[in-house]
Amino acid sequence: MNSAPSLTVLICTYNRAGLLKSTLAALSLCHAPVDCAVEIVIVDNNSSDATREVVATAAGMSPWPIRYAMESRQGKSYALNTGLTLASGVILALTDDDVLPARHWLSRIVDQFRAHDDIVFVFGKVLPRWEAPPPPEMLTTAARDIWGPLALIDYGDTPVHYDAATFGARRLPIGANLAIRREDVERVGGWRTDLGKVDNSLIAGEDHELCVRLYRAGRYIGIYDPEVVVQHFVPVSRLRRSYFRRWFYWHGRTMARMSGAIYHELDLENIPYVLRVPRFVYRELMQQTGRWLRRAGRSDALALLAEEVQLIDCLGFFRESWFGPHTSHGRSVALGSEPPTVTRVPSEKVS
Amino acid sequence: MTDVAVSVVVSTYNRADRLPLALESLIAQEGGVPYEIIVVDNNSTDTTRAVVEGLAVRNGDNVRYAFEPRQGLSHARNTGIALSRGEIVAFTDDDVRAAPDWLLQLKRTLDEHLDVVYAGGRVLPNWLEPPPSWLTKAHWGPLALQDYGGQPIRTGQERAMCLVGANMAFRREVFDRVGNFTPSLGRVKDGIGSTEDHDMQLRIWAAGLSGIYSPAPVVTADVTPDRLLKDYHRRWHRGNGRHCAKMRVRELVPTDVGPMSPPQDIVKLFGAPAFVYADLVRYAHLWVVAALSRDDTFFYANQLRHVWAYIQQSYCISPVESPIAALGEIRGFVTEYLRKRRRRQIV
Repeated sequence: MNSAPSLTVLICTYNRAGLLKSTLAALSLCHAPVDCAVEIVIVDNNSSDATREVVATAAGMSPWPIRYAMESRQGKSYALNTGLTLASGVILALTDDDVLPARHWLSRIVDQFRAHDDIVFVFGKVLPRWEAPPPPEMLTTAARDIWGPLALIDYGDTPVHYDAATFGARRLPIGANLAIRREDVERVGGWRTDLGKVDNSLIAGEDHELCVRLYRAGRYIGIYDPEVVVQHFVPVSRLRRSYFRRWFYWHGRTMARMSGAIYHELDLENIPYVLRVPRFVYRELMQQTGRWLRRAGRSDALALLAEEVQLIDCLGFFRESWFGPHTSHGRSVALGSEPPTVTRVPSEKVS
Repeated sequence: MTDVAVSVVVSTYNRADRLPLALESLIAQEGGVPYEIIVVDNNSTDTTRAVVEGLAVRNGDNVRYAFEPRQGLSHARNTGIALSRGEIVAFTDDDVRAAPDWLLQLKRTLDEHLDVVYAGGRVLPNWLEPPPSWLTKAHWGPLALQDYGGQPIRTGQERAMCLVGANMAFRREVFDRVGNFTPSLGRVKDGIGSTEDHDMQLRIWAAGLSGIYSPAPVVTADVTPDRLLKDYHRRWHRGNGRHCAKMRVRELVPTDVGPMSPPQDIVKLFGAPAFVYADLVRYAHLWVVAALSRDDTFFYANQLRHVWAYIQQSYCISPVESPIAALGEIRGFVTEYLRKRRRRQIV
């Protein structure tokens, strides 16, 4: 990509006008990448707060055009797909409404795409911006194992190249800080609308599942750049045990919903199913119960929580497999069987 | 040296005796932040130049001297901005001592709060003489001291809290967005009560941007004996009231450190909004209550001075030609006020 690229920042938002205001303020302070057209697309997923006004105000001070669109179908994936139809940039820079991008976020992304012709995505660190100082035990290495609920990423200070060979390594990007070629997202069909956060559920996985499809399309080529940094707001409520339990429960359900996608590489056709759940998940459930019971006797509260949430994760998997919307056999939710609907929504230019 | 992260701008006027202390504390900054010091000599007639150049010789590129013949702190600071190379421009005064981690903490504050464009910290007193008992924290304004406690506080449209310029850092693009310091509102020589910092922050807030107070960056300012005199405080409040009127602060920020409001539908009398007169009555009342309970009357007397100076200056901006015109103005004010009240009742 030696010619001047163009970039669209895509932010989906739902009732977070206050945080979104800070996100847009930080974005307006980002260094402008040299000769690269930047635009910002905000997809308002049916917010009932002052989101619209916040976007209108931000448009007045933004160095780049801001476009605003309303997506009335509730769900992060619907909003993302709508944003995809509106975006005109070659690069799609995804971030969230509770994230502050660092000063060099945009220019660094563009530099990476310029330097590497072949890459499809660039992602980087998602560091915490604590609402209140976290309890010290949250910062221990043991706690980091169960940091999933906080949606943070720090894979170290060395850049890492991603390709099909490293796909199994699991250190996936997340949508709070991911820049991706628009063309490739379109080619694989956008985001799956049965995944992605809806209102108060914590169903997620839309980023993860997109990566799976990129991998399948032979387009899982990217770079983890430690200099591409954003800060993710961590509210006090997310540091409570109840949130962790809830998150892992939904994580289990997400995994079950995605099972057709994620277990494909495990030669899914030959995995035996018992009552619509892969047999190895039963084994996992039993092992995890055992680990949890063994921990229960000791006094290490954090370790106990770690085992507990993984057990909850398993239970969520069963819950979704048996009673979820996709009660048909896990295998039938095959990839691409339900391509996301991408419809064009009239957008209005705010500025 | 193009990798300067922070430029420190120190404006100075005839303080060759105390300036070296300030500069030495700036030269001794720790924490590995690449920085430069720009001393802007605002037309001093003493040995300032020799003092700065003496230090510059010993510290290489780190210290630069600039001369600004146009008198005024705003001119000097603007010159400093023009010469600065860092992404962050920090300001401090010529009579302070910066903590060894001052710059590091300012930079860290801005790095951690990516959505704010300026940061300020604590300005603690170094009493050159023991302060009199009446001089409580409530009287710190005229001394340009600042301590809002141990928690960070955001300032912006929602909370228009003005931070003092002796300990402040701006992201460089702020000046492109909202302009430089305004010389007409700035301090000239030893004039007091100036509001260039306040004016800059008002413009930043009006542009929808915000700042932050952090307890971590600390400087210590000398408090000279003349600032412990009540007369100094009286003069400061009068001067500051007048400067505030020039900026029309009360129309933009009706209550102290409260939210900003768009200046619309304000009923005015002799150029000042009606609620400023209400403040006059309120402070007079509080002064009487304080006098009766042997409380701090001086504080309320100063508030009264401030409000009165505000009204005076507002009047100077739009004076009335004759007593008859004044009567007409009062009549207009009363009708307008009643109309607004009626409208509010309907709503």
